[in-house]
Parts: sequence; structure tokens; C-alpha cells
Amino acid sequence: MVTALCAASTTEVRIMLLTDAALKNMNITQSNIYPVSQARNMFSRLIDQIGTTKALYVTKKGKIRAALIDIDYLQKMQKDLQELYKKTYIDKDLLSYTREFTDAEIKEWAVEDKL
Amino acid sequence: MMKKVFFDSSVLFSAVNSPTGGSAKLFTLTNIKKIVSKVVLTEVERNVRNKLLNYHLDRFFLLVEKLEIVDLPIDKGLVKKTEEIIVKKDAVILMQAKKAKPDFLVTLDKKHFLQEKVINFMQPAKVLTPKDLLQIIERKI
Repeated sequence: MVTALCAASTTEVRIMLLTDAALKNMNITQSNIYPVSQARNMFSRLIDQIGTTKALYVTKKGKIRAALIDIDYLQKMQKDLQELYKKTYIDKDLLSYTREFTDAEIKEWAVEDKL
Repeated sequence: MMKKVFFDSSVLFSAVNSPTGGSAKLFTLTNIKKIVSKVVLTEVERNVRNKLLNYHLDRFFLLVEKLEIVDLPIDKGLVKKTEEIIVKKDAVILMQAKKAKPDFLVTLDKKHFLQEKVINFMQPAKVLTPKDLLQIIERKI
């Protein structure tokens, strides 16, 4: 399985170090944090491990500075984000004034629309 | 002055669905002002997402860029009155079409929009199909 290495921004690091709750939300535990010196020596093994843990965190001088992310997990997150920010003209307040077209009327329109 | 053409949901949806029909051809015209309401956009996008394929949604966004979106508040009193002219499900769009004061209302909905009552209600605007509007425009050229 291919993996991607993502650098965390300083802001993210600060946020992550704020509280235990924040760490929990990010699914960061002692077992998936590695100092950079250790990570360097066992990089190949970490890549094998990534499929089950989804993300591993690398520290430098005691701070989390980077994350090793499972590629499928990363792609899923990117896809979810794309969906979230996808362009739309749908106005939720106006949905009640709209209706679902029937297959029959769509067919009728297609016939009527032919040139 | 450019003529104002109000697109109803059937026309915008059909333009998305078929690039070779009259509805799609209207989008190639540069000598008309193509207008649409937010209700029409909401209704069409909802149906494109539910009834058509992903590439249709891209086409929908592409076509909408060629439209002028008019922000018309929904006057519930007027909607109620419009329900005397057309079935409830189409009353809001007809009311908005009237308020937009277009020269033409284009529709493919023969059963509800292309009816004498609606045609009289929309006057002085003309209610017609994209094909009929194309003929009028071509005759003038």
C-alpha cells in the first residue's frame, strides 16, 4: 500500500498540543506517535502498519510536525471535502417550492424539444 | 434592446439533458437576455442530481453561467392568486416569471404552461416553446 507524508502546519501542531481532548479527536495516541529519529529507522515498517492505523504522527524536538497518512484514507478525506465544498445553486429555503420531475414528463419534454 | 427570455424548469433541465435540442440551442444565442429565478435553479439542480448523471451536473453549472439569475421574492398572496391560473406545483415559477417582466417565457410544459389561461396571464409576454422562439428569432434575422 502506498502512503503519503503530510507536513502539519505550526498552527495545527499548536492546536493538537492544546488538550488531551484535541489529541483524542485526531485519534492521536502514544502508540501512533514516533520521534523522527525512530521513524527514519523504521520507515518501511511504518508504511506496512499504516493500513490499520490510518495515520501515524512524527515528532521533532517533542512536537508533532508531520503525519504519515494511509493513501486510501487521504483520498477519501479529499473526496469528502470536495463533496462538502461542491458548488451548488440549491437554496434550502426554496426546496419546498420545488418538485421531483417524473420520467414521463422528462420524456415528453425531450420529444417536444427536438428540432 | 435585447429581448428578455425567462427560462422555466423544463427548458433548463432539457438543455442540460440534451445538447442537440431547442433548449440547448437557445444557450448559443447571444442576442437574447436569458433569465432564470432561484426557484428554477433549485428545482433543476435537484432533478439533475437525482435523475441524470455526473457529467450532466457539470453541464448544468456551465449553462447556468450563461444565465442571469433574478432574485425574486416569493409573494405568497400572489402565489395564491396564480394558483387560479395554473396547478399549485407550478404557481411559484409562473408568479416569478410574471414578476420578471420578460418578453418571452419559454417552456416545454404543454400540459400546464402552454395553456390559454397562462398565455393570457403572462401578457404582454409571449409563452412559447424553445423551438417556436428559435423560429421567431431566425425569421427576424
